[in-house]
This record gives sequence, structure tokens and C-alpha cells, in this order.
Amino acid sequence: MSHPSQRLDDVVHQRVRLGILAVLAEAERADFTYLRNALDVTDGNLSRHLAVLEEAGLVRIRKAFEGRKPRTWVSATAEGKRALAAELAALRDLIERAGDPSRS
Amino acid sequence: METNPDVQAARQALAQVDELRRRTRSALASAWYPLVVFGLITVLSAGVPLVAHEALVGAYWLVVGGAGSALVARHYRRREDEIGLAEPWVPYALVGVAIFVACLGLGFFGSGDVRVAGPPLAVSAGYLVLATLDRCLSLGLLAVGMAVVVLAVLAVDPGHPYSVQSLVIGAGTVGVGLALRRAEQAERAERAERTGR
Repeated sequence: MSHPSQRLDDVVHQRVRLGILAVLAEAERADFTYLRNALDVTDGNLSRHLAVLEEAGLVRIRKAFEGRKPRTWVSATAEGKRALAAELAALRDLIERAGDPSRS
Repeated sequence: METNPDVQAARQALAQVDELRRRTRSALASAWYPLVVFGLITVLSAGVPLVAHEALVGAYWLVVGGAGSALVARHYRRREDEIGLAEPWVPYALVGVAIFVACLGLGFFGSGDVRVAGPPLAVSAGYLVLATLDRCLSLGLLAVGMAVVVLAVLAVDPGHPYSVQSLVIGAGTVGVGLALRRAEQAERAERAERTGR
């Protein structure tokens, strides 16, 4: 079996992208403003990370007008939920192995 | 102290994920509203057999319970717009439909004790499922309390069993709803103070 650090996915592992998927694991969808505030990032930074996740098929982005106000909603795809679960399992495995050197 | 930078980073990443998930659940928490609405409807239903007729209890729940469901749906829609987060609604809708069908079947087609005790026991079972989904201890305790009240009413057999159990369960549900509201507000205020938002 491969070392857990080799199972870490570069797309998911990045701090902001991991945070986006963590929020979307609990909510059906979140809007751009909520994600920006929760993750404490700028609009441009969040947009770039959302684009990476969308390109990888891990999130779905829907832009809508509510009244005259534009609003961007983001939700995790099934693939995104699986990718987060796999990333968390790899991180936990990495920590467990460090506590048990015989498994390294 | 941990010296392996990979392990340190892994611990930090997991801690960040846990904190974000906890904060998201806390922002979504709004169980108090349906509890207060349905608690009040339950209290009012206690009067139906006394001022009208027991046979009208089912119709009361169809009409007033339906209006209550619409109010709850509107509340969640407004909250979604307000905070920019939407609850995963499918599991809640499935539990709601299961409760509705069970109450309808037991209330309309049950007889004797089943007719009186069946619907609140079905609601209690539904609340237990919701308490598990929401990881909400208060809701779980309310579900157990409801079952205890129903069994106590069956054992004591008071003059108007439906009215007695509805008054006690309804008032308890409103009480738990208001307590949850206070707890949710306190947690949000504390978080806002901590994060400066």
C-alpha cells in the first residue's frame, strides 16, 4: 500500500480548496460571500480556487440573479465529496503512521 | 513536541476542516423554529376535541399542520438567502414525509389507544432520526420525553387523553425550541466576538 503522503491530492490538499470542500460537506450549497468570509480570503483568491475545483469536477458553480443582485452559489459534486473523504483518510493515516513508526 | 513537518501540516489541515465543518453546522442550526411552530400547533390542537369534536382532530392537523409546514419551509428559504448557506434538505424532507404518512395512517385508520398514542410516537421516532442527523442532544431528549408522556397518559388514562398529552407535549416542544433558540443565538454571538465578524 502506498505511503499516505502519496495519496494526498494536490487539487484538494491546498488550504483554501480543502476549506471550500469542508464547508460544502455540511451544506447543500454556499454562496460566494459566505465562503469568502468563512475562509478569510479575497474575492480574486477565492475565484481562482473555485475555478480549479470546478475544472477538476469537484464543485458546481451556479450564478443567478436574485432581484437585480447577482449571486454565486457553489455546491460539491459527488466526486468532490469523495475527494474530500479520501483526503481526510490520507491525512489521518499519515498522522497514525507517525505515531507507529513500524508502519512507515 | 511534533517535529515531522508533514505530520504537523496534516494535523493543522484536519483541525481546519473540523473547525470549518463545526462553524458551518452552527451557522445552519435553526431547529428552534419548527419546534416552536409545531409545539404551538400541538398545544392548540388540545382544544379541538373539547370545543368541537374528536373527529375533527385529523382535519385540524391536515389544515393547520400543512400551514405550519409552509411556514417552516418559508423560514428556511429566508435563512438561506440571509446567511448564504443552504441546509441539505432531502433527508429532512424524507423524515417529514415519513412522519406525515405515519400520523395520517395511525390517526385516521387506527382505533382506540393506537389512534391517540400512535401519531405522537411516530413524531417521537422522527425526532430521534432528526436529532441524530443534527447531532442535537436537546431534540433527542425531547423525543424520549414525548414517548414517556404518551406512555404515561396510556397508563393513567385521564378523561381527555388526547388533550392532556397534546398540552404537555406541545408546551414541552415550545420550551425546548425557545431554549435552542437562546443557545443558538449565544453561540453565534460568541463566535462573532471571537472572529470580530
